[in-house]
Amino acid sequence: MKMIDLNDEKKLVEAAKKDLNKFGEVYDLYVKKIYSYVAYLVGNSQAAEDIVSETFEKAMLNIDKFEYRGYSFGAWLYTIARNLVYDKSKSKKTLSLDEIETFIGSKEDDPEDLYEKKNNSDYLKSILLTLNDEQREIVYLRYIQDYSIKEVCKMTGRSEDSVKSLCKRALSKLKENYGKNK
Amino acid sequence: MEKINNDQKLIKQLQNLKEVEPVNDKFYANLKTRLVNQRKLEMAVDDNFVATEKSTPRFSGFNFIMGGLSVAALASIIVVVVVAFSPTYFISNNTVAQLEDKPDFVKETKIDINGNVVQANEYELDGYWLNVTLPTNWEMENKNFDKDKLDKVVFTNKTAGKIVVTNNIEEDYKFIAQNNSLEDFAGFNLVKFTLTQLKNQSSRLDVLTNVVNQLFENNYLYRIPQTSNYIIFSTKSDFDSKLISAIVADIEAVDPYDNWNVYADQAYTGVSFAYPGSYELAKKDDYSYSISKSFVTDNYFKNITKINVDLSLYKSTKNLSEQKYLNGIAFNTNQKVSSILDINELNLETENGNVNFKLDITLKSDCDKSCIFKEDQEKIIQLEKELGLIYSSIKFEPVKTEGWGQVDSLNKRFRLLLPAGFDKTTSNNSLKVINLDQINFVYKDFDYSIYLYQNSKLAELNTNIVEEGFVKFNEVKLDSINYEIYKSSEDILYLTKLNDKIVILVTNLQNNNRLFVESLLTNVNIK
Repeated sequence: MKMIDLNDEKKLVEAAKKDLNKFGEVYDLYVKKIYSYVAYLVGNSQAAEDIVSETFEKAMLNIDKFEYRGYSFGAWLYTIARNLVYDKSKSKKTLSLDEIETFIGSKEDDPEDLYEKKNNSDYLKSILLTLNDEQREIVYLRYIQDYSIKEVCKMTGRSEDSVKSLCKRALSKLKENYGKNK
Repeated sequence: MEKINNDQKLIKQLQNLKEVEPVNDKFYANLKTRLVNQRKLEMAVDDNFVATEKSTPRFSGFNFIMGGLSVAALASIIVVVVVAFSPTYFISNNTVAQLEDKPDFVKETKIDINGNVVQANEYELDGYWLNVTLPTNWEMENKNFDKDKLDKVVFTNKTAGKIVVTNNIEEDYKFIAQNNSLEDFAGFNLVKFTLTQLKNQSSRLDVLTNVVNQLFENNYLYRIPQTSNYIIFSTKSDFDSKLISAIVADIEAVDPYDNWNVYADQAYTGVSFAYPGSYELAKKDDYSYSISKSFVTDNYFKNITKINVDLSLYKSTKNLSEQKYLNGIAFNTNQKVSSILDINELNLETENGNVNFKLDITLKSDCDKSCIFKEDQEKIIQLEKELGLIYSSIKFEPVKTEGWGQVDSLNKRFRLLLPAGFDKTTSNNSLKVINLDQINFVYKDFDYSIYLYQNSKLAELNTNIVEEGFVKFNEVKLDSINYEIYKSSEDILYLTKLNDKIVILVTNLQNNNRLFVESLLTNVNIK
């Protein structure tokens, strides 16, 4: 995933604070990432859309209260989204295979190596299902979205020790299951 | 699909995964339009109504996330990163790159690298409670290091690499990852070998071997004793262990508790903790303390007039769930302190089973809660470190028996040692023998009953406990005596086996003081 430059983000956020009409640029920066994250958590398209909508509504209303203090605006958005997920459903829903296939529909558009790429990508996504909810969330944020451990801590409310430990266990499990039954 | 054994290859594949797209292709555009329209509506309302909102000048409930390995970690993390070592560290005194206009925290000294004594600079990085000695061909990039601001400190050597001291571990973790090929495991054995070598030479640092090579790959993780600050050495396969060993051996951890007071109540509660000497301590009750300081006159803070820390110390019998949710924020109660004051979320409530730690800050009347982060942010960082040290210093020691009285009863079938304050002749404290199997006593306002059963009654006792709805909820070990603890809705029932007798202590839950109860049980002796 392409990382968002913090300086670029700061400029957009500060501009949006001064003029909320510019919030759309912040929205464009993060909406796909937040949707993808929520989708992984709730495993339901409609629920994901509702939560993402509410996330950005809250963010727009409260953007004045956000200040940079070690965490990006993106991390703040993830925290809002995560809290909404928990508010909507006391326990995170585990993705079923059908649901994950719905969400992870292949949109590969590169005809070259399409077969190999698609197979590899879909296979890895299926391996992700072998992780428990906590591990999958951490892998998604840390590796797929490439957020720093400190930001993942902020987003998930976990300690650094906990996040690192989950990363370690998740990678071990992914490696263990990778290549099985293929 | 071939097996994959390399973390980095796996991570690269994960990073190449595409984001999940909504089923509704127009979702993104529609939501954006809705937000824009919502904004237009709000602007229309704003034009007609002007609302002013005044923030309360006082807020409380700055609490801290507790838990973890053994100590809290509010304090900033220190990372020392050593990158790209080369064997060219042997420096002749003629080629020393001297610092011009040395800051007052830099002193000239010498360092012994495998028998070669070379000129060096000792850097006293007070803000990190750390002194680092490096050969003089290592240059400090930011000579204006301000310990209060906890600036990142970067040492460079043109041929050997970099050493970074920072409180932003994450930033430097990325630095490591980018500059060290984590796929290069050729030097892994060398790294493991050197770890042992370093361990032997760094007795002043705690070596966290269980973390080494797990999360930081070919980096070394150390902790500065008595603090939650860490030192990470990041190396390449061609690093020189002699240089690292010399640097580690010369790292000196500075006592972070210098000029602090220690409160210790070893006679009764067994609790001790340290607090800054400039703060005032007040005991609220047996297990609650208040540590406070006013800043009205010294102007240390621009916007804070008083800081109060409430400590509630106890040994909880609760089985705390792994996560708690307060104000929508989830945090792990079983891990170390890892959170700092957060402008966006001010009201975290937490306990880790032993400690509840609350910070109450009083602000000047013309300041809302955000102003302290604008104008006092650097000092807040120091405050966070202080609070982390207070938390780290809390200890629960076994209650000492010196000064305890003795009561022989029940035809000398067992002997009970009671605290020195116990006096059966006063009205507040009483001792009453009910029968040969039961003795009741009151200590201060705590009401306890002790039962003594022969071993033959154990089976019947257990049966009754189950039938009466007692639930076994914990098991602890004290001084090699096994206590099985049962809990009912009203009482806590402690069982212990001594010789062939069963001793039961029933306490009133409302007044239960677990440390005290456990101490009583350790002082029951069968005669």
